[in-house]
Amino acid sequence: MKFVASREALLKPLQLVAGVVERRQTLPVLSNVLIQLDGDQLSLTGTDLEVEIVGRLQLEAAGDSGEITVPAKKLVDICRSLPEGSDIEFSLDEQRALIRSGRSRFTLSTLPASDFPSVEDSPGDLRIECAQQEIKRLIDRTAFAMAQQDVRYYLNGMLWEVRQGQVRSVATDGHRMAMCTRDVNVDCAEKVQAILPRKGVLELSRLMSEGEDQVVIVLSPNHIRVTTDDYTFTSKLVDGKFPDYERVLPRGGDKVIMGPRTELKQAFSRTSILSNEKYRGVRLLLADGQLTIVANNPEQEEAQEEVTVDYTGPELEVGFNVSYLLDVTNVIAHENIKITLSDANSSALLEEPESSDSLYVVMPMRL
Amino acid sequence: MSDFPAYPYPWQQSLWRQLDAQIEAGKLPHALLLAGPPGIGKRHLAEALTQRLLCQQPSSGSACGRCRTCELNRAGTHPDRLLMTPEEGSRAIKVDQVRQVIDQLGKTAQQGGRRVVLLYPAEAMNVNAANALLKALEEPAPETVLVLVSDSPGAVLPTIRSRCQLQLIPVPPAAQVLPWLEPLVAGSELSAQTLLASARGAPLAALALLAGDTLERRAEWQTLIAQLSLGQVSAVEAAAKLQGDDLDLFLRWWLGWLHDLCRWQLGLKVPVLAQLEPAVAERLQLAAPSLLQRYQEKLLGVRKQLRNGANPNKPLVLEEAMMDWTAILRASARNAAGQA
Repeated sequence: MKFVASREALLKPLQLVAGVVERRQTLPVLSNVLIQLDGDQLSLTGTDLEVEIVGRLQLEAAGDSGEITVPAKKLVDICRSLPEGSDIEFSLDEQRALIRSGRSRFTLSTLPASDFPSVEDSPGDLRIECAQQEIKRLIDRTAFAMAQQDVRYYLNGMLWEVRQGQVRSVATDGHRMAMCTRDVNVDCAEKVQAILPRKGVLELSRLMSEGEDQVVIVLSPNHIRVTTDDYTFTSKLVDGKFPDYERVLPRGGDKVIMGPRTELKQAFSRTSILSNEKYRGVRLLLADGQLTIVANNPEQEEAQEEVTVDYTGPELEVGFNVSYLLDVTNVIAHENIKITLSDANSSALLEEPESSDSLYVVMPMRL
Repeated sequence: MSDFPAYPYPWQQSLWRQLDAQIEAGKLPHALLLAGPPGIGKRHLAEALTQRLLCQQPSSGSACGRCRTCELNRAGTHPDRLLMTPEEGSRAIKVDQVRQVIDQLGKTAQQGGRRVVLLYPAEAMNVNAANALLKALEEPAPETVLVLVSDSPGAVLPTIRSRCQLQLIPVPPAAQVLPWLEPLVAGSELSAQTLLASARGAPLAALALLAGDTLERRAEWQTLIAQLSLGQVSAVEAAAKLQGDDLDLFLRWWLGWLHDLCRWQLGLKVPVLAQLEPAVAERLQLAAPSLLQRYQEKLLGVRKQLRNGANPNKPLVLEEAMMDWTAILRASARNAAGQA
């Protein structure tokens, strides 16, 4: 195996791939990156057994094909520290990898490629093609509501539900829920559900760009595989059943409030200072045209904020965890927020006033 | 792993066929507890079973050794083979290890096939670890098999035991072992039969006796006990001589020897004891069975403490064991004289 690549061309996919390789590994081969060369197609693979990234690179000239694994962190450090614009020559000598550039020379230990647990191509059942920004929006709009290390392991991730021409992402930690639905090009007769683990979601959000660049997503029973021109990202799925989220959506809310997002957000964050540090409860007092937010803490300190809102109807007093409200006001982009309430024991439904693709549900607190 | 794929030992064939039939019929229990005395190849069997379960194209009841998963298994990097053993420098399986594995079990298999958790020794799980495992053990995800291996299933938490299908593996009959052992020990001074007898019928333990100085140590220990029994050395001196030995190893031998002694007193033939001088044999014949019984129970208690991670004062334990022994012989001799 032998090839030559420019430092910049090699470094980009290499850094991407090395990002998932964890430094502390029980299996030595997992701290390695798998290098495969087929003619002038070079691919680099890194895995932590939960997510896998394959970076691809077209070489200027074909090299001698082959495959091997070398320590990822060291290879990145070597490539990064070489001078800009230099050419890197990679070759194999017995059991060692030889890296040469200008007057520098490095020998790295290797492990056979057959030891590397890469994910085999599995027959994909479902194929989604769309712009990267769609995927990014699906994730960014809902990821904050995912549970973290919950014993209900199926909540430590994000549900993707695919229907004909539509993908929906849902995340919940049992106290609040976020949901985003986008129209995409997908052919799917029956509803398909898959839960992406938390780590896979965060990693994928990092990879997706805001632009129109196309991405192909393949869902199989065990994996989700996301392919762009430069790389392929594969993640395991959570092996469990997501709760029936539709039942959580509050229906029949009759008190509709329309309020300015920025003002509400600032009011929430100011009152949160004097809310109970553990439970973070605030009281929302709703009256005609006005929303009053009150927070108390165990030291009997009190914060009170008044926000002018568009509302007419009966008065209502209801408690919420202010962190959950803040999360929602942070992620919504519109200048106004629509909040729908019914009574003090029902969840609040938050959304953008018109043409909203996202819905947020926050459970009330008894204060 | 020297031999790959792992095939079950000759004396495990019938059990293997039974397991294989269960796998073929899709009736393998999701949790298996392989239990039996040490040195009979339980762990090997569990390993072979793991390879068989993960292999994509098992042939004639065993892993094929050629497919992709077998290659990963050979390299020890199969991502869906989850191994739980005590970490280096520790005798216990800790709760963090269990949590990690449970976390893995919540996600789909990386290679898309089965997932196998291999856990040994099962009695090494501390209480927290065992409790953390219960939920996963009770209802694991589909296509998941947990294989637990234990030398002393009695020491495993009952709630763990009841959630597994217990597969007791007895010491195999010598007739099945000898054809396997004989070619392996050819060239050594000892016959396969003698070795097997010294290892109490455990084939792998018999093979292990050849390596290292275990046999010599045993002979020395027996001489020491003989001297102690005749009063040629004091209990404290004897304990001092044992100071350099591994306590658990010695206690295991000592308990086995006492067990042999009881059998020998009843008139059974025990080759090891037959080598004793007549003077020693005479004294030993007098040892009262009831006292021996209580002594053995006490030593078993010490061993259990050791296994549970206690760190007793070694000189004290040895001196007490040796003094008790001389006391037993003295008391027995007095009784015998009184009756005469």
